[in-house]
Amino acid sequence: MRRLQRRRTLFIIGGRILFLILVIIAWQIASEKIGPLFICSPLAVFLQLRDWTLDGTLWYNTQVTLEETLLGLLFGVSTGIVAGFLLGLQPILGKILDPFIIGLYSIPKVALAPLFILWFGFELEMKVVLAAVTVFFLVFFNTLTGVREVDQNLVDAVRLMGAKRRDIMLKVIIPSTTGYVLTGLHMAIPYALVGAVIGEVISVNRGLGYLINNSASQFSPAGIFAALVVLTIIAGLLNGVVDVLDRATSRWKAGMHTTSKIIPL
Amino acid sequence: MTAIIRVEQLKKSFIRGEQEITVLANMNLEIEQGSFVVVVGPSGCGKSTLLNIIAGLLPANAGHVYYKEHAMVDTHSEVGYLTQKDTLMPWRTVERNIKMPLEIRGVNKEERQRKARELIASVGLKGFEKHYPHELSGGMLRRACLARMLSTSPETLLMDEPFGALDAQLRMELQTELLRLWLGSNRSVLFITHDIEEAIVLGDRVVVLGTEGRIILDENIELPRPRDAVTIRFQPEFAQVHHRLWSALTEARKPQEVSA
Repeated sequence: MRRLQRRRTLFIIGGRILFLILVIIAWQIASEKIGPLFICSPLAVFLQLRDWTLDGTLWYNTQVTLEETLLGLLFGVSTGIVAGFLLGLQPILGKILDPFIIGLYSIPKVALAPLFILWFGFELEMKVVLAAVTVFFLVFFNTLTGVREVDQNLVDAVRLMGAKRRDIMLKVIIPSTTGYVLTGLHMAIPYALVGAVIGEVISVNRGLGYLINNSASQFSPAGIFAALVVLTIIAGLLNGVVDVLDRATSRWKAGMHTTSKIIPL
Repeated sequence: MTAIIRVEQLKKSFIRGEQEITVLANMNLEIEQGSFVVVVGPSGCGKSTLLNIIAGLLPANAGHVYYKEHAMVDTHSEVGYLTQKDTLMPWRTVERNIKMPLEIRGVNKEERQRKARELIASVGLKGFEKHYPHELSGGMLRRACLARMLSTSPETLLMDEPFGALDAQLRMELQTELLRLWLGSNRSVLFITHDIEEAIVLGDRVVVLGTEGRIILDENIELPRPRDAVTIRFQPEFAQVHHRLWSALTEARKPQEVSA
């Protein structure tokens, strides 16, 4: 059984490597057919990354984007969680504010960028705010759903044990909401990057978004692709961190959901 | 004997849509200290509502519940309540679930551990301490809930169809165990079921409820203790009581069908 599992894992990893190779080959062919001005070859991207690494451009701009993303996540996630719990635990307040929140949520965050530039300038703050606002709603809605979905029977069960508000909070509501918050976090990470990069593309002074914009204005697709590769790697790493958190907090779910459904064809 | 629980002129109704549905209308009931009282009734007669009010989870519209002659307003630490549904925390292992009421009371760690181990053994869950609820069968979940309820040694137990969802054999097994845990403990039990046989096997006294909490029959069960959930069924008295309760239940159903 264990052996079978290991073979499956190996097969999946092998499949991924194969897929990556195929994508790179297709990429190479596409660049030759369409022309390197639109799609540069993978080799050119690699060379661009090497050049940027050597002259420090890559690390500097990556650092800038990472800082904006992480700060945006920090503010967006913390306010999202707090607001989610607050409105979840105060149903009347939640009902009152619902339409307004949905309204705000529906605004494309990109449309807010000019306003934030007006308020916060072109520097770090504006990008952090843009990332945080994007993240906030995702975490907020997930947390709110989590709090609203708490099983009343479980709350009653601890009330019967003589629990006061604090115990109900710590021993029922928070643990049963954790999964939802983490889902929100998962969704939020790419959006924090989106927020930060959009801010950079618009303000054009530093960061990976700046590299993308700058490369485009110099007709250098290799630069654009190189920055995109770095962004993908950052998103992957950040998601990995949440995965670890996820696994640590949901060990009790192990084996609860089967990963594959059996559907006859 | 003195009453440990006294229900006086209890009223409860729910609003469903436009309609007001009366579940309990001026209900009175007394449970004597140390007795095992079983309430039987058709579904929808307000049994669970009654228990929720007595447990302090649900406020009544009018009337009072007295526990040892004190009016009950909130949940009571001396009262354990085993609900129909399994309400173990899914993120806690069996052992940590059983320790939970003790944690809330601020019992120290060693004592919690000792008590949990003792209870796990007494409900027959040894070897499953580290399992999560979703890994257990229905019967084991019931045992874990029972152990959790008993962890604070409540002197009064409220039980709402605790074995309703189990197969017949397992139900008898758990009935026998419940009787074993109860006998000689001087605990009072108020047990709710829709199963007449279960009522006779367990109770000192069986109360048949009709609609709106009307008491149709209130009968003492004179079968000797200790009782065995399986063999007690073959005694002639069992059949006689069964027959009387059956007619009472049939009557209990009648007005409900007219109104429905």
